[in-house]
Amino acid sequence: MIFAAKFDTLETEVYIYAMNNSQLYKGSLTTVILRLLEENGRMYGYEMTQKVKEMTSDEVTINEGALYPALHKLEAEGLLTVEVVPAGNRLRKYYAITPQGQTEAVDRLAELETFIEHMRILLSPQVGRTGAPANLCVRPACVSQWHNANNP
Amino acid sequence: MPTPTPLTDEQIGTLFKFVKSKYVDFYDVQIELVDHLASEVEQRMAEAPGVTFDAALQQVYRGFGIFGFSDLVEEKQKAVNKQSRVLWWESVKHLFRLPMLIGSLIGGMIVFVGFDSLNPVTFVHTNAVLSCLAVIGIVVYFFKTSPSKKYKLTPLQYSGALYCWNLIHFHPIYFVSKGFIDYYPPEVYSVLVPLLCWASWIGFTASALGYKKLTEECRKQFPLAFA
Repeated sequence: MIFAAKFDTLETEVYIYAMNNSQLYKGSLTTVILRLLEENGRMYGYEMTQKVKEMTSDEVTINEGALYPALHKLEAEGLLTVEVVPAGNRLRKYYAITPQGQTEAVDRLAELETFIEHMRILLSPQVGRTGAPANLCVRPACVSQWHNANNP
Repeated sequence: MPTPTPLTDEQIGTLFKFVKSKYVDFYDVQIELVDHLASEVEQRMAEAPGVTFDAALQQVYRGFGIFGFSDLVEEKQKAVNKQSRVLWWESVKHLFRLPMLIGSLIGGMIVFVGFDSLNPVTFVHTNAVLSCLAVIGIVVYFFKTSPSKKYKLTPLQYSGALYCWNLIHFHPIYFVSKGFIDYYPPEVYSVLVPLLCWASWIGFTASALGYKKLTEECRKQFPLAFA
């Protein structure tokens, strides 16, 4: 499970471990990490999970079991560098993006944006043809709402 | 959001024991996991003051899924192995870039001149002795620079690509070269043997350089492990 969409239901946190959901996010985790590091400079693992939660208003949670392998993979590919510094009574491992990682981030982001654009067109063919707003939310509910509003 | 109270030294010690009890044997992974667990436990205890340290720890551990830390450790080993291959290849490329290129070419010249001046079998034997001495040297360097037994590090344990060449170095230098001399005519083996020996020495040097770089990086990141 890469990401878990989190909903508060009757004061109970319910993590949706739906396979489809995980598949949707799976390929994007490394891009998200590169983008976060590009924007925020050096970060440590826990900080990244908190940043993603904060940016998505707690709707997307990065699973720790997927975050660290992804970070280690990016480090092995030379896209990230590591610095270990003392933080109080423990050590903290900070990750920073390398110049090679910055180039990779641009490429992966462009690829992801193209993918989102294609998905938007595929999910709602009208979007591509009728000039729907570029920032239209791609959730089925939003697409359906937009579709109903534009096709009475 | 309430400000978390930092965990005590004793609680950090408990976290180290906890990750070790979950078969995380490597110090580099341990410190990353301990910091993550500590940060999240602190946050949970700040958000719900009634929650005990142990309860918060169990909640956080559940977030790692049913396999706990095992997937993470396994993936780290794979990543390190890949990194060692990248490091070895980078070292090879480094040997073919100035100023190292001059040394590589001089090394190649010595090998070819040595082959011309010596009897082919003597050349192979001399090279084999030198390669044995080089492997002994690298083993001594390995033991002298390795971290203390208490602090095992994944990059030094799973860098297969960097150790592999040291182990097989003798093989092309001695057995394959001898095979070439036995089965090919002089005009063929007089090119193949020195070329193979030179390539093997390049591979060996790249392994040694890669290992040195890796050790230096580990020493910089985890000085405690080498104290």
